Order: sequence, then C-alpha cells, then structure tokens
Amino acid sequence: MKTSKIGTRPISPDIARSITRDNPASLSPDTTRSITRDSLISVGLYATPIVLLFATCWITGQRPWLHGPAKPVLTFLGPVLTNLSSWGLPAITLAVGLAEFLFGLYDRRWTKNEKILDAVCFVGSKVLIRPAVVYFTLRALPWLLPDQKGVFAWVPFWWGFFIIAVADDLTQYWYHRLHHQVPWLWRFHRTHHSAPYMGMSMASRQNIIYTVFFSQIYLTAALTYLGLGEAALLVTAVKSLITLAAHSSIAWDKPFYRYRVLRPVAWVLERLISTPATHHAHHADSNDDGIGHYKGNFGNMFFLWDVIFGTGIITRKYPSGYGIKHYQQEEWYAQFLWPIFKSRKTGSELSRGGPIVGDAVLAPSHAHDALTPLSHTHDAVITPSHAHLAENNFQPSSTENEEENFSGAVAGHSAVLS
Amino acid sequence: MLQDILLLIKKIAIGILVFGVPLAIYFAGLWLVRHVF
Repeated sequence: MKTSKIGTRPISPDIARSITRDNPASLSPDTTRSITRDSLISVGLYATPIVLLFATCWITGQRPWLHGPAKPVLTFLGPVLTNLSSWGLPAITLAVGLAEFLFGLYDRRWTKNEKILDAVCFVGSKVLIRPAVVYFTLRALPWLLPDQKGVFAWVPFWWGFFIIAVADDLTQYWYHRLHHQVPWLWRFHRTHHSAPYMGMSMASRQNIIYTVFFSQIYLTAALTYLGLGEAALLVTAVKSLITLAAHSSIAWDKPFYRYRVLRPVAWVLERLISTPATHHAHHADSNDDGIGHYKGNFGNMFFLWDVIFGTGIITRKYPSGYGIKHYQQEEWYAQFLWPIFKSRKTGSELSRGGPIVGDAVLAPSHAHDALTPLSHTHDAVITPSHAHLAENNFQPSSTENEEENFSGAVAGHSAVLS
Repeated sequence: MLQDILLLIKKIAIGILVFGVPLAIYFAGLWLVRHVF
C-alpha cells in the first residue's frame, strides 16, 4: 500500500475556498440544516424495527410477551461470542497487526511517538476504560431505570438483533458524524485521524474522552439491561469484525471488484457495510484524488446510513495517503488525554488556546498561514464553506469506474472505534 | 481550565442526547407494543 509524505501536496482549491476566518465558532447554516433534517429522518429509522414489530403483532396476532422471556438462541454461539468479545478480538487485532508489521506496513510512518500512542490507546481501552465503563454502567442502570431489568426480555431474538443493530450503529454514526461536523468536537476525534497509516495498530487509537463517552455503549448497555443482551452480544461481535476489517490493511473487498461474477455482491456490500475501500477513503489525507472523502463515509458497521443521508462516496480504490496534512506529531499524552494534558507544539490544535479548525485538512504551509494568527484564541474557527459542503458532503455519488452478555456487548465496542 | 470544563460538559450533554433520544424511542416503543394489544 502506498503512502504519501505528509504535507508535500499543495492545498486544494476546494479547501482553499472553504477556509474562511469569518465563520464564528459554530456550525454553518447548511451543516445545521442537514444535521436537523437527517436527525429527524433518524427518528423514523430508529423507530422502524418497532413499527415493524408492532405491525407483525397486529397482522399475525402473535403476542410474544405471553410466553415469558424469549428462548436463548445462541446456546452454542454464546460462549464463542463471549470469548470473542473478551479476548478474541484483541487477539485477532494483535495477530493481524503483527502480520502488518512483519510485512512492513508501518516501516516509514511508525515513529516512537506513534507506537506509544497506539499501544497506550489499545491497552488503555482494554485494561482501564472498558472495565470502568462496565462497572459504573452496571452500578448506574438499576438506579436510573429502577425495576426495569429484563422488562423487554420477551422480545424474540431476531427482533432484538434488528433493534440493537439499528440502535447501536445509527447512534455511532451520529456520534462519529457530529465529531466531524461540529468544529469544537473535532479535537476529541482528531487522534483517530492523525495516524498516517491504516491498520490494526490504529484501530483503537482514540482520545480517552471520545472513548469514555461513546454514546452507543450506553445505549446498548441500557437495552441489554432491559432484556436484549443476547442479541446485543451477536450484534457487537458482527460489528466489531466488520469495523476491524474496515480499518485493516487487508483489502478483503478487492476480489469482489475484480471478478465479474462477484460484482453484484460487491454492489450490495459496499452500500450496506463499511468496506476497507470506503473506510480508508474516510481516513484519506486529501479529497483531491477523487478517492478520499474525509468529510463523509461516517458509517461503522453499516454504510447504509451514509447512502441514506448522502454523506457517502463509494470508491473501489484506495487513497494514496492517510492522516491529517497539518499533523504536527503531537505528543502521545496530549493526543490521548487532551484537554487534560495539552500539546507543547506551537500552533497545534491540541496546544493551550489552540485553534479550532474542525476536520479541514490543510497542507502545512497553508495551515501555518491559516492557523498562526488564530493560535491563541478560541473565537476564530476555520470551517468548510457551504460550497465545499455541497460539493463534497451532501451529494451521494459513486466512483465505481475507479476501482457475559452485558460486558460482552459493551466490550465489543472498545475493539474498534469508528 | 474553565473553558476545558465547559467544553467537557457540552460534550457530555451532546453524548447523552445522542443516546438518550433513541433509548427513549425504544423504551416507549416496546412499552407501547406490549400494552396496546
């Protein structure tokens, strides 16, 4: 896989047009409008499984609650999924990561600072954050939702699977999208995008605040507490495997594009779930090549949300470079613990009083021009212009011609983070 | 320092909103399915 040197390319005309210092530290009207519109559509999407369950009960006369708790379905798979969530996914991550290392994926980019950051994020999420989130959520739920434990245990397994799949992944889509589109939220997610490479080493790389307040963890935990735990276990296992594969340097999707007989499958797959090609495009350091789409492709397990909301670009090629053009190799502790610890790099977004640039990717020379005068104020923000959003964010298009249940459910989320 | 604390409070509020709305939809929806019939 090719990577390009950070900052060797000039700033794109799109980006240049999009950068304005006139914008306040708030959303542009177009972004506000699209977020409002799409969140209203989301209410309907969230409700879809419930409406269909209601219609099924109405039409067929089934009353599943009369039969007590739904029968366990994952009698054999249950222990497998539990093990997958506890040690299986980290083991897979380590094994694939080791292979990537041996094949030289990280040779040019994996500096000491990046190694420490990747390792701290990986171990921190498994050893520190995950147990803490499980512990405190288990303590809080009986207090927040008293006498509601298992109240929806009557929901049949596959209906529960449908509910959790939509609830969990659509919530993660929104959590992720807001961290890109709301300028002051971006710095909590920047750590994940600062990696100038794709692979297992960066799959868990996130700022600690981003990870601790991962919204869908709490939603799925609450639904598990309410009785949908078995379904949550399967959803999180499937989701973790898909998102892990999407971050991987293993281009498992390429055969689907190469062989004619598989192309109809590819057409469905790339619209339904995140493939390595579409998710790598999200991590691209530029949109200039027609492949990168760092201002879209927010989906995690399902790419379908990007298709519905028009935030996706489907590509079958891989970007030539990853990361952030104006990345300053900020200290690992600043990237992991910001805003508790700040970077000492002058002009960095993560420095004390650093600029808020949103997820605009600037070449260093232009970034310097744009950022330096703003580096000591919170008032100035560089955000995408309306024209830029219209061109790159909100036009669905395709460039195909270029080529234990609860803790298990919660744990799956910490395997791969957006 | 104060700005950082305000930033965290805003972030947590958005996080709660992002999962609170769907949780309310599912809680109310499943309760309705159970009690309408």
